[in-house]
Amino acid sequence: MVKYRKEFTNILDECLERILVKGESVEQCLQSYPAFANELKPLLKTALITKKATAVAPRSEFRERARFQFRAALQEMEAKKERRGVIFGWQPRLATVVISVVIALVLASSGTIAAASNSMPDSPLYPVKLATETVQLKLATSPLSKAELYAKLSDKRVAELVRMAEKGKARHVEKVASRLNNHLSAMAMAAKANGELAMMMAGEEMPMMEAAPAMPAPQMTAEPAPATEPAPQPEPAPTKPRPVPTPKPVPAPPKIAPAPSARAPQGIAPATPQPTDPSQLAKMQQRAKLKEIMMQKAAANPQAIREALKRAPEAVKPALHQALAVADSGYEQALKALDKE
Amino acid sequence: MQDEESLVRRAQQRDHEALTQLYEANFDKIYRYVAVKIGDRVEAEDITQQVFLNAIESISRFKWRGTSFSAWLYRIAHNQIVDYLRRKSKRPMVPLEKAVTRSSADPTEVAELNVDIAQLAEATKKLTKAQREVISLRFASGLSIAEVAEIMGKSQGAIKALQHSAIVSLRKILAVE
Repeated sequence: MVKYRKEFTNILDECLERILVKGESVEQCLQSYPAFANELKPLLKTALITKKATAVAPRSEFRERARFQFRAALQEMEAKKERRGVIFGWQPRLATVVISVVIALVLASSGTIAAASNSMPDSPLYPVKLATETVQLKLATSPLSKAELYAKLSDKRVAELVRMAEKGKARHVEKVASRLNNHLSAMAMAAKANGELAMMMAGEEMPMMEAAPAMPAPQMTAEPAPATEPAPQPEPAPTKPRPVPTPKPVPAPPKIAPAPSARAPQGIAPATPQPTDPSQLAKMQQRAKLKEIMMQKAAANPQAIREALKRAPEAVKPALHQALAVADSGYEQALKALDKE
Repeated sequence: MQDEESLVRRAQQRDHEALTQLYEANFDKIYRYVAVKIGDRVEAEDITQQVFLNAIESISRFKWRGTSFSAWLYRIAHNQIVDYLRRKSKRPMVPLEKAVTRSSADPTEVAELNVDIAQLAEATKKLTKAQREVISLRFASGLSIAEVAEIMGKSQGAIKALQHSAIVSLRKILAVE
């Protein structure tokens, strides 16, 4: 019996290879093994159904976006290497904050920060500008204030894009587009995190995903998604998350559907939950204000890039097109995230 | 293998061309693996991107210790999926039939495929972890028995047996005549 099972398992695998890889038909395979035909047939049909069901292909727009972000990550990697040589070679996050704060304090009195705040990516003061922004981000405590700050930083990046495009500096345009992508990604995540916080405060229950281990609530930060360290063991296990400094994709906001109890019947407008806590009310107002600002920026910033495209030299146009795609998609995702109440 | 090895060695030296080749060679496979495991196309896109961003971040630490580069890549994907499930454990899922569609111009084909995917997603939940992994690697990523065996750290015989039992279970669940 054991021998029979082993033989059958091998025959099944051989047939799968012939059908799924070499393109033979089920009938051809059954003819090769008539004694096993009755048992083989339904299994091969199941395998074909499975193969067909799993034949999903990435959307072409996603493929393009992913390719761009991969290239941007490679460039960011190069830039990081260059920066290491220029600015202290810092790496750990804590060191970044501490050193940035020290720089900020030391330079504040001399007016260097003021000068750096208007610097462009081709300026020697630009790293100071970025360091100052890092400090500002570290000091923003709530997801909403982080989202607001990321929105402001995105404005700066767009202004830099336009300026660098005017100067015909394609490499700088690409780098700034990558930073813009990071900001918009983080902005969407911060808005999303705030939405989840609001849901939890409103007492809405989020259904658990089957087969997922019980875990604490999702992190309410605007930090990028944690990376996972590949481990050499055969049985993979989740590793401790760590931040990844490379550009992150603009993530789609999570699909937070209202809990069944919160859904209104068709044709009846859903009732808006009214917060009783004044601080919650203030947050809702802040969120509404942020959404209004974001809508304006979602129109103005991509438009600014489009205008720059009209005037830009040919050499920078591909990078500007990518920047435009990043801006369109990023603001759309951020607005979607803010729509989740 | 030698080709892949030299490609990976170049990639470890931050050779953009080598990194891009590895990316292009593995992108679709990893995407399908993730999509089938989590059943949500949009999330699968984000996770797939993250897998490759993590890979370029840590490729310098990859060592040839009897495992291939793709096995290492699938491990990153697996860990990324585990992290995703952990983070999203309190969030609702989008029904699979709404989330995953094939790039096809034929609406009939898409409609038929959606049903199959929905059934498959439900069905694979009832399989064991190892059976599900074999289905994802063998059918979604299209890997050979030898490759699946390497990734899962099992013998080829064990993988064939898992494949057999997984298909038998799927047949019962999907009620294939």
